[in-house]
Amino acid sequence: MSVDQQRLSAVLEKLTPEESQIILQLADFLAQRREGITDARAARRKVSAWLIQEVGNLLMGGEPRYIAGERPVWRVPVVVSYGRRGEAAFVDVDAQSGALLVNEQTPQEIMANVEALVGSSSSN
Amino acid sequence: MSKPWLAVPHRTEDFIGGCLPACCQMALEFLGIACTQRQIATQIGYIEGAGTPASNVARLSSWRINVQYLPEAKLDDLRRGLEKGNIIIALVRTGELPYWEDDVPHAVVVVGVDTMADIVYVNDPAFEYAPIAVPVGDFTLAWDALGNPCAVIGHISQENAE
Repeated sequence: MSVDQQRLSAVLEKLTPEESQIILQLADFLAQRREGITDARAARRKVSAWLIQEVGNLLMGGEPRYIAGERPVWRVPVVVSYGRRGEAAFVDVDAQSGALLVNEQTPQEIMANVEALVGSSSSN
Repeated sequence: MSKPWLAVPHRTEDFIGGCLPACCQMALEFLGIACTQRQIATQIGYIEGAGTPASNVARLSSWRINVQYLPEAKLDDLRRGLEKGNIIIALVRTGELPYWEDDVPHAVVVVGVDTMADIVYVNDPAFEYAPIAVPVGDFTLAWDALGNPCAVIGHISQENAE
């Protein structure tokens, strides 16, 4: 076993079984889809560009989280940055194709969450 | 040429999150149109906390000016727009700008691009002084993080209509 493999093994031993499973799924995904994979930065940029264009210029994509599964996605939080700050929603990006997983209702749904977040700060 | 930038009047934000209306106000004033940031916010459909879809800046054309929204522009588009005497509003992520400490989506007016010195000059409505010189690399990162969107605003003319 190489030094790198030993280090990786040591890291995996410190994780919970659930965390190890996610890491292994991600590693497997990366190995299988080395070509054309969408990385976290690209997913975040894609969501931010879409938010600015379709929803509101004060919204931005936050730090993406990798969600393993049959159709792995980058789950990108919608960050409210002015007034009361927080995450109002999330937008998924297909980790394989890079496609935004949104529909015609998504902008209104996000806006409703943003208004709820901002409204809750006004009433505090 | 004495200055490498357009003499766009500088305005700061009148309210929290009012960067885009403030940028629009600068553009309109440069074109000789006076109006408040609140009037502009209403016109472009501004909502507290979220702002407005950036493409709504096209609604400024109701003031009989030419407004083009480019969802994915290039630095050359900014330079060419400025050479024609247009004002450019660019949407950026401040975490990549060296003079910012916060990391938020933001709007600035690009008033000059100096390709010799690799400097972009911006009127940033969050700051009292202007213009601010930003290294091209930093500006490009900040702009690219949001997909390189911008609005090009100018007088209605044959050249702009092309």
